[in-house]
Amino acid sequence: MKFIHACEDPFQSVELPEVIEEFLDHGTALCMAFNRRGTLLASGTKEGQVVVWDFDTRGVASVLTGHEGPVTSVAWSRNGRHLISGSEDQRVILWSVLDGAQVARVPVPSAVAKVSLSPRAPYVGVVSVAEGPPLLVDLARGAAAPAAGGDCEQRPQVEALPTAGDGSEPASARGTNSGGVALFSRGGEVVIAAYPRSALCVVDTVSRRILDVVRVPARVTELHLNRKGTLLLATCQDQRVRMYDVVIPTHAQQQALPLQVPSEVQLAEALANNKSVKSGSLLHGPEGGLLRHVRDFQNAVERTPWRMAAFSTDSEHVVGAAASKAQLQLYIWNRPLGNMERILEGPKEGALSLVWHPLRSLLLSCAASGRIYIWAKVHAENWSAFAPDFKELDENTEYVEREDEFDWNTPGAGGDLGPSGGNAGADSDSELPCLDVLTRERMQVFSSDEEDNGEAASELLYLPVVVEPEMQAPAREEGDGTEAEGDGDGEEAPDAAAAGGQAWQQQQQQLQQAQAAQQQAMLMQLHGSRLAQFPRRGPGGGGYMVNGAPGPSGGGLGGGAAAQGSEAALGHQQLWPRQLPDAAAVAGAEEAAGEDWRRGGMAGGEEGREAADDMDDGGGGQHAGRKRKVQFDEGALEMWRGR
Amino acid sequence: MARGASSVEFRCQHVFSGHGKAIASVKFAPSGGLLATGSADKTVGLWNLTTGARLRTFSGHAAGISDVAWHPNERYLATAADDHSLKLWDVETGACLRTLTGHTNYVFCCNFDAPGHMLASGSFDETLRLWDVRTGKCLREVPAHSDPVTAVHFSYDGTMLVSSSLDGLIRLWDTQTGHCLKTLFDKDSPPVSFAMFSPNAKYVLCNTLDSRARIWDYERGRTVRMYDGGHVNKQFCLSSGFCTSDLGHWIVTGSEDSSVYVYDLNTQNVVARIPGAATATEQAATDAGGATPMETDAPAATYGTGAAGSAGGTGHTAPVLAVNVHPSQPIIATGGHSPDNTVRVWAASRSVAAE
Repeated sequence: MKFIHACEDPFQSVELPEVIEEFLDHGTALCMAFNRRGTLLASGTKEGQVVVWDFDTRGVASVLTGHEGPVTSVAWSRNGRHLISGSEDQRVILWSVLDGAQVARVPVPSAVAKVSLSPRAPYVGVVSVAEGPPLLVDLARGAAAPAAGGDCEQRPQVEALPTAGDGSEPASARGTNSGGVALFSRGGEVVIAAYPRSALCVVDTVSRRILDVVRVPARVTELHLNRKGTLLLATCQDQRVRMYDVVIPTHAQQQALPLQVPSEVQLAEALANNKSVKSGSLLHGPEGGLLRHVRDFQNAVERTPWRMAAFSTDSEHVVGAAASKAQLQLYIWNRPLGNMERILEGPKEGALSLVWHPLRSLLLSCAASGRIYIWAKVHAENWSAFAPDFKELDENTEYVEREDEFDWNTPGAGGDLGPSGGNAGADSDSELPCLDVLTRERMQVFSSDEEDNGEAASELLYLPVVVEPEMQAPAREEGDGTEAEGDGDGEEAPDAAAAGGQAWQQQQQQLQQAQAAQQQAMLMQLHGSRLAQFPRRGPGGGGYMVNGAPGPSGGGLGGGAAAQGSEAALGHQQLWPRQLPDAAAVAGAEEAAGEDWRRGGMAGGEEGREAADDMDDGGGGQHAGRKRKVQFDEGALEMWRGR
Repeated sequence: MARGASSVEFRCQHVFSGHGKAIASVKFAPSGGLLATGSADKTVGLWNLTTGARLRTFSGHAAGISDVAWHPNERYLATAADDHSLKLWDVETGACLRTLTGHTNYVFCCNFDAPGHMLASGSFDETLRLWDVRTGKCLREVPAHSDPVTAVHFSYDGTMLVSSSLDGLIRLWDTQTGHCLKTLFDKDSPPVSFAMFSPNAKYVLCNTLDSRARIWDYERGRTVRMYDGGHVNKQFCLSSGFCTSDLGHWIVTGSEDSSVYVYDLNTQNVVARIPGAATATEQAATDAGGATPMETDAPAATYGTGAAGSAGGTGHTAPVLAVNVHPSQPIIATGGHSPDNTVRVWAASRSVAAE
């Protein structure tokens, strides 16, 4: 049962995304990264901003400004309190996420292509730059006096990673006009670097010694580690994505069994003697080493070149973004089997970046237009969730009603009743297990791979909510297309409460319905009729959808339109009888006229039992003090008359 | 658990009078120092629980207020009102920061999630809405029920939302996706007037209009406790709450007989009953009544101008609609329906003269 899965283990319900559910639009996004729990998303924009999104609300939580060029890469610290960003303005900035302060601001000699942050303080960044080898940047230097060991003090703040092929490959790194790619292992013990000359290097973070060199048959353009840090994806220029097992001992293991660090001589020998080796570790042979090749992922027919690749949450799938600039194409492979399972096709724009939500089966892709598309599974409504005795059938069956099916007081009509359900007091106290209403269970997902229990407490999951006073915009027509760009919140619907009047409301509703339909049609067109059937917001609800929609009428609808919008979107999915808009209008008018207050007049002297019966009766009688119920029934009658 | 069913007494610490109409909702601030009270007189009162002073009055709604919710950081208050809107208030300045419009009928209930970035509201238009607190936009509208929604509550981790309705159903929702996860209803499906998660979100406490309160184990879809030891709940949406302290684990619920009932969470027995003023004189020697005068007189003299419970009456004189439990101490706040219109704060303690 899906519900149980959702409670016990989110991974069991991981399903592949299918359609674009929504997109985020704030600036021209180039790169993005989730924090460890997926509550916050950071994106770097072409305008030089780092935008922190509250992913639960899909709203902008904060905007960090400080870069002067396009932000090309962002990465989080493990506890989510720090964020590193690199930009084409040749700067790396370490941010304190909570207050938006710049903890460190380090210039580097070239435009930054990718950044990676050590998981814990003292923070060290691995910065891949456009020209030259990747750099190790000591970010703790700027904040405080170097408290680390003596050898650290001698080091410059920015230091190039040692390159593997200095002797054997004279034209390495510096000669070519593009740099390598590097990232930290999960625990930060080593740096995995890919050099232009087709080699992956594993470098010890502390000693800066090369631990292993792995030949790759083609140039590596992008690296990606899975969540547990056990698998590495190397996107190569030969239209393949290569997957490696990462066999890197943790710090604790290293102390028990020190890793054999190859000496300079060994390294030089290995490099010199193995020039013919195209693949595999130069030091430990093709089957050994710290990175062991597992499998390639490719499109064997079309030989699609890849921009980058990423693992799904549970590492069971690998998704690759095609490097095409004309079409957003995402290929999803099964990781253990290697077969392709799905192709996602998006709008006619290339993908720049790809991340998978750390907990949920959501895939995010940065498109060339600067939007961040959120891919999700099309939700098939689980009707049995709405009624415990509802059974979903695969095919039609002849139903024979039970003798007492529609009798009143059918036993068991409410599904499984507990021992004390409906007949309280029948059970003696001794049979009742003590209820524990206080103990909260830890999330199993994270405790399994958690070696640092104390750290969870210091994690920053959410940014504090600050509600700025509302700009008192002059009351204007909803949907007049003058909405501000981005996440501007000046789109409060005018306070409809006092305005009351039935005519006004009806007019608004008609307007909204028409516009909602228009928006819907437009978005359908945009996404090839594959828009999620259960959009998170109504098409008019949030600024993102509306703002991003092309066309002259891409203006915003007010918050009030969300209701109509999602109604239109829901359409056939309505399960329960709903109150008609007209009835609501009547209610509004009456409410404005007379003094009424609900908590006081809730069931106004009538048996509560009747509240449920009313729905069944349909006709409904006059119930004193139940104003709303009467209104509903009037509406229902009108509906039937209309049929 | 079995600890003294009769050894607990409640003393009235404060009587807050000043609201002109019935009290719909009382809520302790997350840190416990303040109390917010929403009333049918369209205002929200903010009270200092140490001094008993009224700190502020929030007014701006065009109709009566049905629910009040504290933002977890205590800087903001949300109110749900009959003018079809919700408002966000700055507690410091008393200014209205946002008006959330969209509901097409009375907004009946509201609650923040734990990070405080989302607000859920339930309305007589039978829908649930989720709001982005930062922007005031409606994130989602869920056609949740077929009758007015009487309560919404987030689980402590914000992953789930529970809603209850007069249609007799309790529904659990996935906050992230808006999907219905489960529906709970009893055989007779009496209208559900209130529902909330237990502090660990493993159970749901609900009140139904058959004068019962129940605890559901929603994973198994069963009621595991039922409390029907005398409280009357036939027409109003009474609230209740979990009160857990070293004095015991209790369920506190209001009642239409002007009393407040305190049940033992596990044994389902009535631990204490705070009688209404009408009955207080009769039972002065029993229950909690006997211990109240000394504590009550001081605040009553200072702040109790026009307190309905005059002349020794220490209880409410009308149905107790609103009940809320202090976040850390065994203190409860109760609010009375018209004509009582008072808010009372009660502190539990072990009875000196145990029976």
